[in-house]
Amino acid sequence: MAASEPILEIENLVKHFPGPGGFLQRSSVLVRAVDGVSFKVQEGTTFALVGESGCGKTTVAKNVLLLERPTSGSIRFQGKEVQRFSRRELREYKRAVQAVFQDPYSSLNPRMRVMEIIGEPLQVHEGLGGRALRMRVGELLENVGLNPVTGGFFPHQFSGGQRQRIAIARALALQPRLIVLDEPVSGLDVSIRAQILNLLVELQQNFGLSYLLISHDLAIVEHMSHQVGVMYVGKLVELAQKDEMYGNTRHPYTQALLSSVPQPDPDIPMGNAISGEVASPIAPPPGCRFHPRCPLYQETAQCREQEPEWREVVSQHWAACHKI
Amino acid sequence: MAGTGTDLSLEPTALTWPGRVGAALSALRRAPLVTSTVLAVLLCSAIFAPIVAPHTPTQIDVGNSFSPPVWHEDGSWSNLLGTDKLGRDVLSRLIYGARVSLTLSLLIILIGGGSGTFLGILSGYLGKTADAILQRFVELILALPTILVALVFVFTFGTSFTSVMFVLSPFLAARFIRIIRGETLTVRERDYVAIAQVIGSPTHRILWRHILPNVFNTVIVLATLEVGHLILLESSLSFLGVGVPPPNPAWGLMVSDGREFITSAYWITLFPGLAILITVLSLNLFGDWLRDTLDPRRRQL
Ligand SMILES: Nc1ncnc2c1ncn2[C@@H]1O[C@H](COP(=O)(O)OP(=O)(O)O)[C@@H](O)[C@H]1O
Ligand SMILES: [Mg+2]
Repeated sequence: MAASEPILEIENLVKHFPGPGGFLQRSSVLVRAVDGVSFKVQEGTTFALVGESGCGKTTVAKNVLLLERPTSGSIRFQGKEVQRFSRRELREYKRAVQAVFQDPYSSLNPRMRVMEIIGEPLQVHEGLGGRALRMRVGELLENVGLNPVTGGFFPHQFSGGQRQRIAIARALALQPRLIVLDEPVSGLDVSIRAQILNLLVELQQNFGLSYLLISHDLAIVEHMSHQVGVMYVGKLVELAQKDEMYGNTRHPYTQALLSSVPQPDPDIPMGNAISGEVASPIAPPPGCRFHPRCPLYQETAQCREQEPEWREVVSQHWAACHKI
Repeated sequence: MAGTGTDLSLEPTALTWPGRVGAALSALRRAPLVTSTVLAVLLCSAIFAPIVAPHTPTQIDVGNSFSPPVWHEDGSWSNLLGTDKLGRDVLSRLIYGARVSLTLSLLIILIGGGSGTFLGILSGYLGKTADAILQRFVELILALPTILVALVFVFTFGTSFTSVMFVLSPFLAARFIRIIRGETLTVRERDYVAIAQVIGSPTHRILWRHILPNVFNTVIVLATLEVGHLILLESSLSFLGVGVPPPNPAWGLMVSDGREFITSAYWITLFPGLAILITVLSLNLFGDWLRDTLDPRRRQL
């Protein structure tokens, strides 16, 4: 897998939002949602971006999907800078890059039939209509394990899992190269998560898709990713190939996340296994952002004052920690 | 690609046809029977006025003026609700008056409500400059006293059906813009809108296919409530002599015509007054019911 070309390269991506303002005044604080993130998604593989809720994963996704404009940094698709796309390249990008979001209730327009929902990208980009459109939508429904006759139904007639299949079918319609999956199973019943993940793996193999998979759950990611990046408050703290990441975990934050995985009760939030609160992206702790919660931290000025360097600790395995 | 999908069949949550018919029936049962009947009667008399009305509403018969309603000793069956000072049949004028009031209100709803919906969606979805300009317009209009502006306008351009239409439409548009803009701001945040942007759907398509259908319930409810409001406004203007010009049979005009004789011939004012009251009340109740019915959060219950 490592030999393949990167399809998506993110370099030093920064996204700051204006913070919550006071009454009648612009706020002066910044929400540092993403604060310098770099990674690559290799063609035909899955890059998993993992971290607790609020660490900036969705913001990364929105920048890739052009729903937000980066404050700084670069996003390259097949070697080309996204910010400098021509109109034609932009149109091609919108064919090649699709998305599946977390909430299958919000991601399907309740006033449209499944046929129209899945058909929209085909109508917009290929002007498909009538019988050709119905045939193609039928195929797509079969691809995601749904009966083609359900094309005439409305979203409310489906369960959450089925809705997510419809969202996946829509993402497949234009034969994309890259699909951004933002917490694709977090909104679903635990019992059907595996089905959807298996479907995604199968589609990846059949169509040679690349995935940017976003999740707050390392267990879900292990099943289907090739590379994993762990984020904490707007920054990557560790990045490695899947097996290396799970077999030779280096960063104390990743270790803490992993040790919290085998919770039998899914209702216990992961944060419970790590002491303390997630740091705020408005005023991240100085030095290493993780130090107030870090089990390795022992009053060392280094952790408190100096930002740890992002370095290759083992070949193809990066981490940012003074203690490794 | 067999083996991935195990849920080929729909789950029991899916609505079957018998289930849908049942839901429709129970919705009908919960519908306010009285208000729907009143509105149906009103609508029918407006549409079929020439057939239903016993007399021509503008026909003057001075010899038969101030004839009281049928239940009075000297009342007659030919003028069920009596006649006015020119001997015109009050019932026939009421029936034709429904036609005038409803036509005028519906036209204003179409023009003002239509443009208000359109601008509200644009304002909410596009934001920025367009939104800022429109919001100033809305604030300005809503700060103006409707009746006073209408008085000035009609004194300048003369009393006519069109004058009333022109002067009331912007007020209605402003109310629609404010509410539909707010509704658009919520719908805009839904993930299906973000996905449409990711796909590269053009803006007009997003507005037409994603935003409009999802604010449409609100448009319908607002329109129903505003018809009542407009009938009241139109009646007030007619009463003041700047609404529908005589001899057209408008309810407000009838109330105004009869007020000199309120002690001697109460029926000339009472019946059009009651017509206004009952119609506006019914429309408001019906609008409330419609809002509750169309609200998906309540529908789930
Ligand atoms: N549009 C926005 N304006 C201000 N703050 C935002 C905005 N979007 C996200 N944020 C903030 O940025 C941080 C990261 O959010 P997000 O990317 O959604 O995290 P995640 O997906 O990892 O849970 C959060 O603190 C969130 O409150
Ligand atoms: Mg998120």
